[in-house]
Amino acid sequence: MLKAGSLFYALILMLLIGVVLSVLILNSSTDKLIKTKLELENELIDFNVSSIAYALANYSKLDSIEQIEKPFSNAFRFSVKREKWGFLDLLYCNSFYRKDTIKKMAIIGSNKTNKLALYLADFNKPLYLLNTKIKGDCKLPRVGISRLHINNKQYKKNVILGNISNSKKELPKINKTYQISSYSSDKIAYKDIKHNSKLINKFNQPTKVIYLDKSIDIKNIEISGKFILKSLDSICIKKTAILNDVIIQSPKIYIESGFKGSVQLFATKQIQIDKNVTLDSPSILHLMNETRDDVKIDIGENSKLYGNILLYGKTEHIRTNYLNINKNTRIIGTIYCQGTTELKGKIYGTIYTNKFKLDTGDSKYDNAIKDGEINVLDLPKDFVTINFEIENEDEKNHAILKWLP
Amino acid sequence: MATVKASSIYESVISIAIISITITVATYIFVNIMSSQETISYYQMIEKVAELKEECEVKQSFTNKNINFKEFNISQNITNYKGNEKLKLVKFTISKNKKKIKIIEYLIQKNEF
Repeated sequence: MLKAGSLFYALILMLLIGVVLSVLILNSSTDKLIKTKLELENELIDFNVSSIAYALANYSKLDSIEQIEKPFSNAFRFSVKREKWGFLDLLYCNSFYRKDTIKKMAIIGSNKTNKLALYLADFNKPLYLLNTKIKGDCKLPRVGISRLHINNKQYKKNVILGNISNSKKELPKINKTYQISSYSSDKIAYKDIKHNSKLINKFNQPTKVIYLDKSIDIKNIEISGKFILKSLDSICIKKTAILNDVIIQSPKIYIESGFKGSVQLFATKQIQIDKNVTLDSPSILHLMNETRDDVKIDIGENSKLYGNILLYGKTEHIRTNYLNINKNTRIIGTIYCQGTTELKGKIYGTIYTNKFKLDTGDSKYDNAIKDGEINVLDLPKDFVTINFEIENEDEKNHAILKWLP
Repeated sequence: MATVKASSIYESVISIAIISITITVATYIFVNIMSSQETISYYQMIEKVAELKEECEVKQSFTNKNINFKEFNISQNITNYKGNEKLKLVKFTISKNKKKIKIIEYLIQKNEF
């Protein structure tokens, strides 16, 4: 017996089509949901880039209090603030959309718009050059440049490319200050840290201070982030230490040959960098002479510094401040030496100094450079260096120097 | 002899009606789902906007323009953000068949090299 029951078949067919359609609708809506979320995420990332552009363009107006903006017609918002980390400027950008947040941290630097290579204070003595290249503008004493003769030997000619104008008796003042606030921070004794430890403290966390006893070296350890290593006497950093973005504060600081890392050194008596040391960007050698004693920054042969050197004190102490840049040493950044500089290496950037000195072993020469190079013209047009504010300087473009994890 | 029980005419009519309605609804939903998916040219247009933004940023060229890209029209409008000459508000208005479909906005820093 055959039963037709066409209504039954029609209902079965309707059910089948219903199931297929439900699967299709579910699949499509899930797909749409994921796509919308991904699109939103991408838009928030792009928005965060916009917030960084805002922060860089309004850099001078920012401070440590969060500034909130809603720049577009959509519901996206961002907050920006800046803080000091030693001599460096940190930028914090947070972008929000409902419960989603993207956080970015960076060290801010600047593009140099002027092409000043050398500023030598006017002590009424000419600058003597021998086998030296200066590429960039110079501000020199009124008496100008002379050729140095040593034992009547023939040397290659000096190369000077750039405009020369007159300097003043004093160096232009630095408008920028540094800040090392270690009072309310977590304190750790270095002797309590295990060997071969890896310490990381992100920049959105409070600062941690590591105290060192008098005779302990920093070795076999990795320290990265918001750390201050502090000693009241001296600190010696061995080549087995890995240090990134940390501050080191001590009257005397010594770095062993072979060390590689990015550090801000704050000393008051001496900074001694051995041979073959590489200090990555952004590094700072900062020596503030608080007494009337002789102070010195000495950078060994074949070392490289991607950052700034600051050596200063009270103006009447110029004779006591001494900076020595040895053979084959490269400094990529700005040097500010309120004292005497002995230059045998290369500077890719700008140097401000009161005096130069040359010691050949047989004799000493005042205001003289032999086999040196100061070159600002060969730096790339968009080269970003540590922000260094000097009076009467042209306005600068602020830019990201380094992203922080 | 076996008996064959056929459907009545009413039953057949109702069945055909149900099947027709089901297929009509199914086709309508299917077409709607398929047409709600973004086309390849939509994503190409989004890429084009990213390219235009890159051009503003890298070449530092800030000019208003209108671009016809496939079936879309992209209008690039640039103003100073809150009067700050160093910060540009770049607004891309995308329309299709004279109907606005998307607005994409960026802030771009103006550098003076």
